[in-house]
Amino acid sequence: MTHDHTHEHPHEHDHADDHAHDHAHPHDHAHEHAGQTPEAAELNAAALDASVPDHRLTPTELSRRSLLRAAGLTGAAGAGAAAMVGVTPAMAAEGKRPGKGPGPGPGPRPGGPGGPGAVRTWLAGDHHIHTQYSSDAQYRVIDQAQHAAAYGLDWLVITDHGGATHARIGVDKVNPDIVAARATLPDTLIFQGLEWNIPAAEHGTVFVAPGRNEVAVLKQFENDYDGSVKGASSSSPANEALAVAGIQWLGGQVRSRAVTDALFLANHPARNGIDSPHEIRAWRDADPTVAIGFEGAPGHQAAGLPAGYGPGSARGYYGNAAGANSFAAYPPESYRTWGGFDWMTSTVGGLWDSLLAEGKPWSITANSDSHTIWADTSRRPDGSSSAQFAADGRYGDPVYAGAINLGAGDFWPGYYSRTHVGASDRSYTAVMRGMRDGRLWVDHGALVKAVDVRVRTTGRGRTDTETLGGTIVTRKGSRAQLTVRVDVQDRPNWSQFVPQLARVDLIRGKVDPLSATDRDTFRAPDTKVVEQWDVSGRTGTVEITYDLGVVEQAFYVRLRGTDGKRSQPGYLGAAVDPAGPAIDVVGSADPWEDLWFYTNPIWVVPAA
Amino acid sequence: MSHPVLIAVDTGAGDLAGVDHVVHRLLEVVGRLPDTVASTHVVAGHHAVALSWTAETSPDPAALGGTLVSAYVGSGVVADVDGHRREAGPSDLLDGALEAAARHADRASGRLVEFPGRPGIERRLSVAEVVASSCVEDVVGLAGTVVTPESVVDLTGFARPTWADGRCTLLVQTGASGLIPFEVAQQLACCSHH
Repeated sequence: MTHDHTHEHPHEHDHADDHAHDHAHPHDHAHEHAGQTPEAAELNAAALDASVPDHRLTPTELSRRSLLRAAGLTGAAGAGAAAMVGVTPAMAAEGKRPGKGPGPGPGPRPGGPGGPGAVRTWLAGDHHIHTQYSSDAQYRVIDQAQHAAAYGLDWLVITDHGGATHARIGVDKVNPDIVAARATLPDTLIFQGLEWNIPAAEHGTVFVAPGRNEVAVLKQFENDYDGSVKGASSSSPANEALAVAGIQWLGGQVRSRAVTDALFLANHPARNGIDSPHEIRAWRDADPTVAIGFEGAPGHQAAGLPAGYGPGSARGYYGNAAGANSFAAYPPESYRTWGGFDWMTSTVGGLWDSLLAEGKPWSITANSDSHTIWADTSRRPDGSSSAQFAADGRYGDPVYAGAINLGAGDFWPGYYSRTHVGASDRSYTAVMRGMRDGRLWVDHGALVKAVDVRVRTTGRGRTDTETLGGTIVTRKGSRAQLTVRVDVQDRPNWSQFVPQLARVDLIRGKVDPLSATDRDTFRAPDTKVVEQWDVSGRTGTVEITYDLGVVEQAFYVRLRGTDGKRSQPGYLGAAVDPAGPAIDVVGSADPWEDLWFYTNPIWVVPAA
Repeated sequence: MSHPVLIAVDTGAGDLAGVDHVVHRLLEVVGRLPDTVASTHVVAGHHAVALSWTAETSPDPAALGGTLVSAYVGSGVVADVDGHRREAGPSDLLDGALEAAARHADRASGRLVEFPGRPGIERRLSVAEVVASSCVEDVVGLAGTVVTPESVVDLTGFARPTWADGRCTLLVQTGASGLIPFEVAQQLACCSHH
């Protein structure tokens, strides 16, 4: 079918520096994988490979394995495991030496002062964007990329749907368009990825660092592991195993250096209730260097605008009831967004917190899922059809429609949803590393300008500091303090108003790395909102310091903020979350009147 | 004397619209009485259908079973009249039909497509009217949704109450202009051309 979709004229930028310089060649700076040498990578790869028995290792490798084992890093985690580490059983059980960051994993500690993993810049982006190479979308790569750039994004991932046509030709044909867009927009990092039909589950973003094998790796992955291509969509143990195998295969591509890096994030996880808790844990544990998180907020944020003004559907297109493949224990409330966020993330003490309470890293993002843009004035060209798409692998370029499309439910990348990544520099590998390190916070409608969160521990003359995604291992009895600096928004957003932050909430939960006996749990019983700060009317930088007390047991903290316009007690009750996001109204959810930001956690772990 | 009839069919329906279609076709095959209850049940990753009513004169079990078996070749079929049971179909789908029949019988779970009072409530009406004029016992709101007997709910053309622990409940949510059922007729297909 064709759309009467329409297209607002792209923001014209004078790309006078339209030269095809080498900006887009990532292999120039791609081998800084956690700062390790190839030799170190091989050493770690052998030491980390649980299938290699101890007696097959060289003494050096065995020594390395012992170190990694002490840090709880052996198993599926591959080389380059310098990442958001959370709290490993080894930290808790063996009383690791105080310190911060990932411990004795390869490479420098992220966030350490001056280290290569330090956060020097925050780069906004979007990892979920469709083009004319998706059968349900319509724009060129450059349409999406130049809007993303105009709306302030630093990086984006092109994620056309996996499927027979895309696997056969689309994944190849989109690449030259992406390469051309990199040249046209030299200041914007444009990744190629795909939207994986996760076997037995929902969709997910898979993307790789640019390089000579970027297409080959994506294409083989899609042909071997896409649920649609393989007819593996339904829930079954075999299909769930195929998803795990796909994630591990991606990790293998990184370890074998076919690509410099690869990441997977689950998209719209609660939309249809088909991402069960045990599947999410299985993806994470398959290779935590690849499977790093899920969308805290889905795209399609305009979908709930009322009919006549918008599609009149559900925000995020989260409007369904449980189906045959849905996880039976998910409640009806999980099928709706709450303040625009997925229930797994918006529920304090819910599924996301249950992952964090295990001490295992899992990050959140916020993306556009841009297919067709609300209030756009373009449409697919005449002659677009399923048969034409199957033959060509794409629709023709969009054309001016001469009419405004208020039935579309998406915003341009950067227009509403932003994923902020703390990176060491403005490069492809630094963005991917920052995401893996968990240096992430997200917001809607440019609610705030910047968020800086630190936890500092002080004890026996020693001070450690960490930021989002980090883990502080400190002496038991140290004192922990939280400092938050929020730069309140002073510029209008893309709906031409200046958002006003009204409240900041602190969420805290106990960590027990050995607690995940039930792989299907979606409760973190100890996690709750512990403090709320009214900051309404504040301008400039809001500074908050908060005493987290004496460190006796492992815990994490995360932050959330809101414009305060819509609120209700959290899904688990007012004692857990007195004023959380409100469940969104189907057919009447104006995303601009309901803005939130969420940050990733920081962990604090007492050493023995 | 009344004669309880329980039938179940598993065609392997993959989605809610598909299984509703199975129910409607089944009602054409066996007819509909005012006390007919048709429910759908998730079995082994798909949906199966069960249907019951009370007949005033006992239908011929062999005839009813024969009608169903010939109408649903390749599907799982269970026909139970006065406790006389006929079963047919490939083992996996027969298992699904048996499971649907069991859940229908104990009303522990299930989603109702046809039920006493349905034609009268598929319109805009008050919650009190829903409870008074149909088999629905409770109208429950999604988290934070206030429901009073006077609340108006728009069930125009579509209502799918559910059984939970023996009670028949209709779950509602807030819509653009008042309460609407939680399950709406148009489910959004994954990767649809939205």
